[in-house]
Amino acid sequence: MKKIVSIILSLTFVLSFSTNVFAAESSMNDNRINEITEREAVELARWFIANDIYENKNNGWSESTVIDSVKNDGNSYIVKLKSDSQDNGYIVVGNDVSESLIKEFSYEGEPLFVNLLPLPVEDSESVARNSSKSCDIIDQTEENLPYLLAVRNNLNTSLKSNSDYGGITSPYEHVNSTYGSGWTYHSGKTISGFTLLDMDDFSASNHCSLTTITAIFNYHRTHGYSSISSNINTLFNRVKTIATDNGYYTPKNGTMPYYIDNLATKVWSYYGYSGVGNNDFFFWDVNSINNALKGEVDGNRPGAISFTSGYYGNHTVTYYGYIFYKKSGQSNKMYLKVNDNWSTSARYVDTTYIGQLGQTLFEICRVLP
Amino acid sequence: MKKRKIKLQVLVLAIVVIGMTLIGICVVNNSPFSSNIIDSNKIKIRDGTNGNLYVLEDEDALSLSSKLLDFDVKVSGVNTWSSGYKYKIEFFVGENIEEIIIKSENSFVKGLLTYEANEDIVKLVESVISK
Repeated sequence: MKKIVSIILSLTFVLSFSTNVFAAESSMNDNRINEITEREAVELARWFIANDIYENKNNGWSESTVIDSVKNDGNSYIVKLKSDSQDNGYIVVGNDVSESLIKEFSYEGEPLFVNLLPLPVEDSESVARNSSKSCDIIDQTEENLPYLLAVRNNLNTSLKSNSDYGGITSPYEHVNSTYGSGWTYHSGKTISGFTLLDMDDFSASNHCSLTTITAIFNYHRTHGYSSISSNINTLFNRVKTIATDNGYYTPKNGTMPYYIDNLATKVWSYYGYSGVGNNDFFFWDVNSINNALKGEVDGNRPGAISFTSGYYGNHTVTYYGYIFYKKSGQSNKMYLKVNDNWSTSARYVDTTYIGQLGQTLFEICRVLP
Repeated sequence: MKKRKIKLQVLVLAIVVIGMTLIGICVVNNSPFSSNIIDSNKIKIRDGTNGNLYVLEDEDALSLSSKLLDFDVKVSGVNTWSSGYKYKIEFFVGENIEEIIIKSENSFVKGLLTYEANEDIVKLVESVISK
């Protein structure tokens, strides 16, 4: 069975490279021409700020200007800005490409005209009604579309890039810059007592998986499994010997992720325990991925996660925590806290797109005492 | 039960046939490098041991890609997914990216196949990034 899974995964992992090429082009077939999403509105606001800084220097906005919040009032997105925690004005972005993309802006204060009501369609060619609450509509689709398509293309490229999901040092900054502002902390957990390891501290080649298994067993040693070696180098060398003797690891090729569960089971067994490793390849959607990972962390079980491509492609890291961010009207975003074996500082993985066609595939190895 | 077994056999056979066809195509196109990597205006190299990222541009990128093109390379096997590598190199050619993963001094992976080079590819990469 493992051989069949191995063949299927190898093929899909190779094909997943090619699907990226097609994924980048799919935006051209986007049917959603007129509607501007919040992410697109935020990107338009960013471009507008950048252009304003370029043209007007730092007289109104500057490099320290950040997006504080985004509100959709039904007709427009009101993007509020801050600089050094002080009000730095706003940009009102239209929610339809046929209207002005930037409806109004100011370097300070609150929006003035967002409650103006557009004239009914039959009156649209006439002059604006003489009312303090009306304005006329001129279809600006042709003029605006190139800008919007450029923004969409930029967002598609950055989102579909496999490089985006890993190595994140500030998940709060990442979630707000990638998915639009307004995301706040919802919940989180870090497995207490987990010690981060750096593979560079061990003498071997292509040994990320071995470092991960060492870190996991080192954690369990301090949580009731005292027969496991307390010397980290001795433990690593034991893991390496077991992996080499069983053909799970070679210095030339590293470790086949399909065998990480067997390796974990053998290490448990070597130290006289009945624990097991258990690989998971298939998940229905991002929620099932998140629930599986959350369940492991909530159960205080650090585990291994191996990726096929992108930032952590052909690499294994150790998960030991998570953070969820929330935003009104959106599904929560999960950031998996990992020891990426490249440093002893926490890194995060954005789980939104992992496992999807055209993105990185992955395997989780749960290590169960 | 018997039907299920037959379905599974057909599925495995289909996968093997597709796999062999893809491998065949790759073996015929023996060189792992398309000649247009010489047009790379940017090359990214990630060190698989410490995660460090090196970016080569213009002349430096050209220098590395021309040296790699000069290597005598032959197919050594089928690539199976594995964790751990020495260096990962991405060649940016226009809007396309070509990636190779260096596993050891003489062997590397591209797509479905593994390759053996006649020279020490790790040494070459390290001489470039040490600059």
